[in-house]
Amino acid sequence: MHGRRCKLHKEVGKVSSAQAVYTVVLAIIGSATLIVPGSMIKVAAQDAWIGCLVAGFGTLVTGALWLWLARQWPGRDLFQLVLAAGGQWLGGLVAVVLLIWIGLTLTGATWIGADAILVVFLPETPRSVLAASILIPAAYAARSDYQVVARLSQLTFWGMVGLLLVLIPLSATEMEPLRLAPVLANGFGPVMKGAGVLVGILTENMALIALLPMIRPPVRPWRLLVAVTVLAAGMVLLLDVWTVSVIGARLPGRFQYPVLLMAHVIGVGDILERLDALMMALWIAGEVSKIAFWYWLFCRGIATLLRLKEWRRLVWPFFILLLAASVAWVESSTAYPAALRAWSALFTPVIGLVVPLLLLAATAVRRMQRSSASV
Amino acid sequence: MRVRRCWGWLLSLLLLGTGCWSRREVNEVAISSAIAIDEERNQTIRITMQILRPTAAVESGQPRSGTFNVTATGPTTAAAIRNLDQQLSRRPEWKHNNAIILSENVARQGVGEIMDFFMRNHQSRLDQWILVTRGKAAAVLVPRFQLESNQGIGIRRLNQSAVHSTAATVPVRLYDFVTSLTNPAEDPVAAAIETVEFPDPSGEGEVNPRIRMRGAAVFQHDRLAGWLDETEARSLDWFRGEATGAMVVVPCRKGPGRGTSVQLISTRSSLQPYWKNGQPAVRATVRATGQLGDLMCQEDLSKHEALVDLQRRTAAQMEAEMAKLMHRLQKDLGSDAVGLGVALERTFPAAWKKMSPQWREIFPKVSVTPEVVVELTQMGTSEGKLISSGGGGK
Amino acid sequence: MMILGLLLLAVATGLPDLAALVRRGRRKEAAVVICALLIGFLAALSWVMHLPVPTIGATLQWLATPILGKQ
Repeated sequence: MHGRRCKLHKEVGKVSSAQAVYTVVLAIIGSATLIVPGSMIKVAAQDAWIGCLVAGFGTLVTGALWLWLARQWPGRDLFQLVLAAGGQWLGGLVAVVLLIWIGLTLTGATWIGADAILVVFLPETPRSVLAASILIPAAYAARSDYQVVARLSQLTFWGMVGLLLVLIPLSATEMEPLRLAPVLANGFGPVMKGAGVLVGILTENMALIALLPMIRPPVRPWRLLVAVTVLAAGMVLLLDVWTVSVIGARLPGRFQYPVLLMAHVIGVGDILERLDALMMALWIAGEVSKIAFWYWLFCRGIATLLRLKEWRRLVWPFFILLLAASVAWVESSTAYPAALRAWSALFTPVIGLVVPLLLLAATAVRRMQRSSASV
Repeated sequence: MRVRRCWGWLLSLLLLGTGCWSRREVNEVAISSAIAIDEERNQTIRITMQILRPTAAVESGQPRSGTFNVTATGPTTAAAIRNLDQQLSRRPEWKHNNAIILSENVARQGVGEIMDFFMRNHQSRLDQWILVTRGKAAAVLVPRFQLESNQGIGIRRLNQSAVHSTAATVPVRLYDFVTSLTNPAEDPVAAAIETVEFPDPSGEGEVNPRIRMRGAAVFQHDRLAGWLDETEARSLDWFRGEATGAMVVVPCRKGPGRGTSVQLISTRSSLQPYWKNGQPAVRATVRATGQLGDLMCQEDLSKHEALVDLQRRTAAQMEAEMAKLMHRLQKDLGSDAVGLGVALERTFPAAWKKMSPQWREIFPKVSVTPEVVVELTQMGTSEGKLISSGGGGK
Repeated sequence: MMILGLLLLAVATGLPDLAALVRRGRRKEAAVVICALLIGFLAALSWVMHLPVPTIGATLQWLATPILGKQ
């Protein structure tokens, strides 16, 4: 225990609150920026942006539940918190569920990353090689600990923001705001479905809990939660609005990676054209940032659950398992949306509501027992 | 530590090696500049691809053709393109393709399925231009541009020039075309392209075939419904707010003369649906700014009233042309290339849901009122009427 | 060839850390690493050999059938 405290002490002050926000934002939308706008537009058409607002508000509530739980157990990271709040059995069970969810998140993100490169750029390269090429830098960053992941995320985040700030004005001549009309033509049903697509991903804002003890100087956690959720939902909203106003609401639903196609319509004179490669490079960086964070949390979680003294030594040995799972996530891109829907349906309510409520209840019971014992 | 670093380096090599499988060196590919699609009698698809001949283009240093055409047939677009490999020593690459030219025959049969390949293939880019020709599409790839090294670039520049200057056609990119194709509330339109034979200006020598973009092809869903001439095409551009360089020649108000040329600099349009006696109607508002091209009438434009009158007459002429186009689209072609359905859907979504199944029957009956406002902001470098016909400066 | 490659990958990614753990007497950690390598190798092998193992997506869909219905 003393050793762990020393280690934590050494880590103090290495992640700023801004870096934590960038890290969690990319942990949420690192891979989502290319697929989620298309999936949302497919179900909610031009109203997809309203779905972002609904999903943003919804996941602020689920994130707040986790923050409330973290307040009950200050100074603990995600898995320490879960084990402390839930005790050996319930905590252990919740930790296992979290580990499965994290494992599926990171392998699913790796699969889609490899698929995008395969479909758009390198059709003859084996999927396993592309998946490995994403997982290797992610594993390297994860093994170098969260400070490296945070720095990578910081760079990538500003790269992505910078690229959007260049691309969106460049496509201004192609944008037609009227394409966003009519608003709510089909009622709230499609909007809620669109929000459902995003909620599954935005629920990952609870990952902030994992970084809270490492943030120096400490800031009010709810501010970070709002920043993370608003930035993540806002970026998807921006992409939704951009995509619909340029190519309408019907076409994106027919493409796997519609946001990438936006680079096709951008051209200034004969100079600034074919920005797809730049867009893809930044997207891969976002993908690597996302996977690195979840990889780091996965190994930390296993070490905490099994009370191992070292977690870094798990990173590379788990590589082949995660690679195999990434490659075998689904057989083809046509199966991916259904698998993602199933992943979301199974885990979103559990991670967003059931687990924090259960742990809050367990905490309350534990406190009551403790106070009655002391009386 | 050293061992791990070694492994780290080895694994890092994998990152750099991902492109090895899909690598295509520039000297191993045949770069396509334009693709023409025809249909043979036995329903097979004929693809003619114009390939760049890099050495010819580089070595010559002169604006001469650096291309050659290859052609192959197949039951599907993808199969026909793959069959090109049988004649090419290098693999065709169409990431840099500029234009897809469809023959009238193909367009009349329906282009939805043909477009599938171009939307699906990873090499295909959405910013290619879509054109339709009255005869064989492959014939468009034969004549040479005098100022360009290949037809693909020539056609691309013609399209760009049509956007900014001539407005004699309706330039459409692949993504715009497919957006219309996938939208039941509108019909696609594409630029028309043709080969014309111009005799040598000196009167001797051979006849030079040239490429000309004039008019437009309008579709009913994915099938060609008919052709628009250049006046109709520019009216369609006005409806779409896309024509920036059209030259409107307004007849002289009084007396003899060829007319006054008003060159439009920009047009902005909006379609505003409303209800008229329980039926849908659309007001098409166009705001155009322009400049005086030339003055070949006995008129004095130095007076403000005369200028206002010219603006009004230009607007009236544009309104008449737009009304004529609408009549053609509604009564003859049955094609909603203007996008009345889209405007109705955006403004009255609930009503659109009810009327959309019968849109084809409703469309010809929709009353469309063009309302044009023209503002002449520039008169050129001279004032009023410079030289009167028959001599004598003013 | 693929199996050999897999084996090499498993060894390359796992062996240095496993050796370090054994050297420092971390038995529990070493056991976890061996398990991870073994499961990872078998999972990769089943994919390489095209064994009829359901994909993660198919399993998730099957598990989510009571919620989403048959997709």
